[in-house]
Amino acid sequence: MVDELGALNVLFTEFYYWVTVVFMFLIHVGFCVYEVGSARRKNLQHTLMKNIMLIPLVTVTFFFFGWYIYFALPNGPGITGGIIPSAADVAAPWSDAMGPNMQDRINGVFWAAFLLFSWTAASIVSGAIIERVRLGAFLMVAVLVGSVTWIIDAAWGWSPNGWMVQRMGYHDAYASGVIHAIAGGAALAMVIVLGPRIGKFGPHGEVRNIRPHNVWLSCVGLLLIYTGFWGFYAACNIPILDVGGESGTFFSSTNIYLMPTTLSAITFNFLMSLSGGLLAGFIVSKADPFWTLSGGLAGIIAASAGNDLYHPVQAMLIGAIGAVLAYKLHFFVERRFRIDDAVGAVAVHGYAGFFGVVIAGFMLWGYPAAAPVTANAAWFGSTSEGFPAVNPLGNLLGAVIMFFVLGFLPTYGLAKLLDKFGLLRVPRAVELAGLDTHSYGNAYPYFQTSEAEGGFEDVERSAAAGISHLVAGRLNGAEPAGSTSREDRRAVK
Amino acid sequence: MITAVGTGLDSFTDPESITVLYPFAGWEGLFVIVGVLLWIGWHVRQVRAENKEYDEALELYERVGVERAMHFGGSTHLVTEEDIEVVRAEMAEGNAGPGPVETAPDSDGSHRTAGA
Repeated sequence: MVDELGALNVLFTEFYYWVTVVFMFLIHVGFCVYEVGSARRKNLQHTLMKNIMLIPLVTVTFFFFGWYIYFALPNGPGITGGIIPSAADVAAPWSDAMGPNMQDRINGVFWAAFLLFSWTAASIVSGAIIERVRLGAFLMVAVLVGSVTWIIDAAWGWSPNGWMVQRMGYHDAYASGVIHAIAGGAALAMVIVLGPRIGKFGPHGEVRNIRPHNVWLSCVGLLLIYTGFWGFYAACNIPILDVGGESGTFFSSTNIYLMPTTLSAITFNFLMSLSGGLLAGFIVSKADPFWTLSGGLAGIIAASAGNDLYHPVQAMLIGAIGAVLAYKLHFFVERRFRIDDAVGAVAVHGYAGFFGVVIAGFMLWGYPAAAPVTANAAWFGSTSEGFPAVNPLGNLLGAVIMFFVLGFLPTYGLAKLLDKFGLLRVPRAVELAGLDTHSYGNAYPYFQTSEAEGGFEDVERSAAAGISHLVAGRLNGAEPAGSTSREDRRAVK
Repeated sequence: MITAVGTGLDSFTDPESITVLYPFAGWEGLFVIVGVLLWIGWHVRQVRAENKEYDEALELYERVGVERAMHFGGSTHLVTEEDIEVVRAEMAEGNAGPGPVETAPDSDGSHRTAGA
């Protein structure tokens, strides 16, 4: 770097991504706070450590193979090109660009920006399954979602060369589907295989509300997630790029597909979609703090797919619809299918994210999705200049791929495998006594607060009475729903 | 002048020609193998530790009863052998229901009240 202006551009870009990474760390801080607040106090430390330990495990695996997958699989493989492009060599863990290198100033910070998205994807799954999943099982699922499945979908649908972008015109600028729908699908798979927490549903299917131990803490967590989301939005942009093309030089920010947008545009739309979600969440939840703030998050997620291009009022309305959908669908699915999603993660991330991708296909119909690798090769239509065009069918199919194919299916497979060996869920007796058992002890040893846990204690004591000295496989004579631990199977035998 | 043994670079005077900065360049493949083995080993160790922990927890709960374990917060930090003896005595007297149990004094001389 001997040219000062060129050096300034490179060093600014390096610094830009570095700053976004620091901001995005707040997303994870928020998830920790939010989930700990949502857990009952007998499960606090287990909940916290579940979220903390995904950091190192997803980080090292994203170094070993996650980052390589992003560069290796944009073709499908085999849909828009060969098996593995040679460009992937730079992201192989043994590449000399995967470490301090004077000739490369972008790989490390770009890797880190994507890594923080990985933590988020894994952390979304974490919230849904608190208070009954084994730590070891969750951490394997975290590696699957954080370092394999989400980054495959990023290669396919969140890269200018990705086959979903090139062939289907898939557009998802701030990851409604790429992060949120896939993580929501994975969370749904986990809660189905795990089963509900003991006592969540009564003998006649009635839904019992297991209240957070500290709703205020959960809300602070959500506010921290909002804060980190700013960094996430910035990290999804390329800060300075010549987008002039044939008309001459013109520098701009771009989205991840290298199509022009501005930081100003996404700032408008981030705030307006957040506001739409908060306004609707407040009304639909009757001012419930947890669901009002979750509505704000669902609002951003619903509008994120097109927040590079929407008008702010469009972003606000889409955000509002996303919040209502998330709230209504969460309680409908809970009631109808007896699915216990402890924090509403499937709804806020999965359903709102799915909706966001679908609506972006309609709203941005005909916009250029990315510069074509091969002219006019798009399945569902091209622009007059031969660019693959954004369209409703491409985004609908994309949403299905994100939520179901890459989100739900792989995680369901791993969860079933872990369940087969009794390694998915903690023993029933431990769940009743609290997951902070042995390793941690009481999280608040000096507080003589009520253990009544929102009137839920009687239900649990009744269940405990049904576990007669470790015959934990049966609760009041009825087989418990969901996964059964190896210890409980042994006890039943 | 004694020339030092080197693991990588010995000069920064020509930065344009420098590529990697880390020591032992060329051994990256071995670093990765070691890292992957440690990663997989960590998962194996965690599963084993968890199984052992839950076996111990269930053994304890079998002795005191699950309901009692809930009463004590489910933790060995609270359910000491002394506490269990108190519970056994209560159960033997037919008084197994929840109730405050005064435990042995802590090291600071204070008494914990187990159960409430």
